[in-house]
Amino acid sequence: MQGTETKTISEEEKLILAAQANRNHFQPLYEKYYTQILKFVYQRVTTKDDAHDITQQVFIQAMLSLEKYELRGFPFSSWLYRIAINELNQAFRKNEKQRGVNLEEKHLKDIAEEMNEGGIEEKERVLLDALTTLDEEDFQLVEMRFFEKRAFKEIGEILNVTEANAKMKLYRILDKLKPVLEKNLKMC
Amino acid sequence: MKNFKINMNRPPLSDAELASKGDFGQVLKTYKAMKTPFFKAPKFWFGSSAVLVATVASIIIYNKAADMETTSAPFINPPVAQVDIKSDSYLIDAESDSNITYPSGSKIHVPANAFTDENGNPVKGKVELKYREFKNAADVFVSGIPMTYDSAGEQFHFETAGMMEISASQNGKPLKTNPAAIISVDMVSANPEDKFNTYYLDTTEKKWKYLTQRNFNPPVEPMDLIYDTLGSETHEVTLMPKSSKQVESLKTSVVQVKNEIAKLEQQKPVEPKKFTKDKHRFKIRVDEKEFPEIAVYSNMKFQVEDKNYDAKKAQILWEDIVIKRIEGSTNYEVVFSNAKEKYTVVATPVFEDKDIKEAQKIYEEKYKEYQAKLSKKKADEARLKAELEARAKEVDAKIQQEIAEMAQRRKDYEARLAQSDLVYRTFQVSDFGIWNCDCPNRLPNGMSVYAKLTDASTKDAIKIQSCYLVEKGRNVMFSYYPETLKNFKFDPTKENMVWAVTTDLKVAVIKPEQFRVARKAGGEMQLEMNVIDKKFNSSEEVKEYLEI
Repeated sequence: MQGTETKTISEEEKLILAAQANRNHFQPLYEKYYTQILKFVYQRVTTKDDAHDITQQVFIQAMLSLEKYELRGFPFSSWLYRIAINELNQAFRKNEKQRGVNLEEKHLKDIAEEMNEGGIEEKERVLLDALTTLDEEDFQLVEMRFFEKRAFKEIGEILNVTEANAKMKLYRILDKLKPVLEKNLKMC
Repeated sequence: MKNFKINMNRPPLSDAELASKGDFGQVLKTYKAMKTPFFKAPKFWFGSSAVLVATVASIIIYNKAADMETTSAPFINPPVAQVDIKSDSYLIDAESDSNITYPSGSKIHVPANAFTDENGNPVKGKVELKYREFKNAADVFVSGIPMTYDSAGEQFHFETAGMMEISASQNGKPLKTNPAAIISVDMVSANPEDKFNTYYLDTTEKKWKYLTQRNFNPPVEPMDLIYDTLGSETHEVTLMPKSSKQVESLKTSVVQVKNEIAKLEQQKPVEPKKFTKDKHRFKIRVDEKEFPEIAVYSNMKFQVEDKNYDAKKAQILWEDIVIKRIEGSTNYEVVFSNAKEKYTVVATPVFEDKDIKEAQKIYEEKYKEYQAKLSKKKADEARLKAELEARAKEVDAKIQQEIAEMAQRRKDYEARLAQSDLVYRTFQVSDFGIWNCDCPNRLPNGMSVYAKLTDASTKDAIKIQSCYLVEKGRNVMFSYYPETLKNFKFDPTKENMVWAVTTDLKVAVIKPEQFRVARKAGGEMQLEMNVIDKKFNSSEEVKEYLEI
């Protein structure tokens, strides 16, 4: 048709449209994303039970708000991650669940190197203490970038900011950490 | 972030857990229930673990902490025999707060009940608290405390802003700290830089432990420090030289012998006296333990001395008689009693004419014995008193000496105070032992050579246990061992010196002016060391040689 924009609908969008029409058709989306949302949530809590509970809640919430999801070009998974962050924050605020900081030593090493502070384990230990002084929003960014190795593009989509903005925010956080690190651990 | 828990290297979810995909049926059911208007919807809780989780802010730190540090050797090993940095000893009351000011101006705050025994029970009574400080590289060298620190496989060398050791004991038994009443130490540090971390020397694991407690405080006001050190708070705190214990024991012995003399004097035999005509007399048997001074006489009688004595009383049948010596006299109070009445007389021991000679003989004999015993006791008393006086003088001299030493150290610090900025560095003493404000250094940049150590007088190679590169003006000792001398790094722009401990436990030194001109060729450096073949008597003597 003249003047009408044509757009190819992806398989996933078809699934979303079907689910928006009838929630009984949500199951394929649930099965597709369950594992990655569970991993995302488990990264941020302390027990498996908490992870399963919150993941289930994420999908219930997704079904409740599915009408609001627009096919705007950013992945459905990012939308689910946003819901997961909200659910997690709610659970932490109400003290229903405990925030877990789950990481490996190499993650600290990566951050230290990014800050040009690498090479001494004490710095990495102090870095861990310094990280826990960040507010939840800033910590999420560090967590996604260094613990989960997500690309800035994806981080931007999850946090609803541009890729450049995500990058800038992260480096500001690392700059903020530097004096804390230097205050707490000095090397000659 | 609040209320979080750190997990290092937590195992990921298993494949089975990831593959379970949850229960979509349950999710859909819950969705439908929640879609229902709120006032109609049942309150929905899902999953057995939806019970409110009581959260406790706790940090599980570093499962692999032990793996991150490696043991450094040698451990505490004072290089000079019988010479070490001296501790000051304070006697404090375990149940009261005590504030001690060390001669350097450092303050030790001991709250009440800060000590426990090995079973964790609170300790009462007097406690001996020992404290010493290590302020410079020479102090550290003399103490033999290792100053290397391994991190991530790399060896670092501590630059100290001050190190201290604190311990406590009661009756020779070591005590522990009480986590409910932590001792704190504000240690005066001559290095005002805020670049030093806190470390605790774990003598069990034989390594330094990095602690996150912050030690830096704002600069010390010079006048405050002078005031504090001069007005040393000694409330409930006394200097306690070791010999003071002997004085206490001697004091007890003197009191003991005095009591024995007093008891003996009561046993002095009473000289026999002839009876007085017309005065009433009666005979009663006395207990020889209670009245040894009269019990020795077999025919002694009591003569009534009261002027108003009622002779009729002698006709009464008395059921009980109590005798008591009247103090300061040879008379006795005798109380007769029965169910109906009580009658008291004052009486003196006397003898009939026929018995007086025999009594006199016994008296002379017993008096000799008494005199001999008394002389011996008095001699004992005199000896103990003399010993006590000598020991007390000795203790007094030691206390005076310690006070003089403290005053000297205060004077030194006051002199340094005029030239440098001082800060307090605070330690929260969670365990007794060695605490350190340090900053880890890598080996100096500049030159790297194979250091060959020789005896300056014989030119022979010397075998070392360890050696330390020291830059004058800095409290850092770069540790080298025979195997690391091949890569001996130093900064030629600094005033370098080397202190070594030989395998036969001698100290060898090369001074900055000798180090500067040491021969370097083919990547080697000849360090001609002055091997000190001298017996040191104090840490001060060693420090003089080290020129710190």
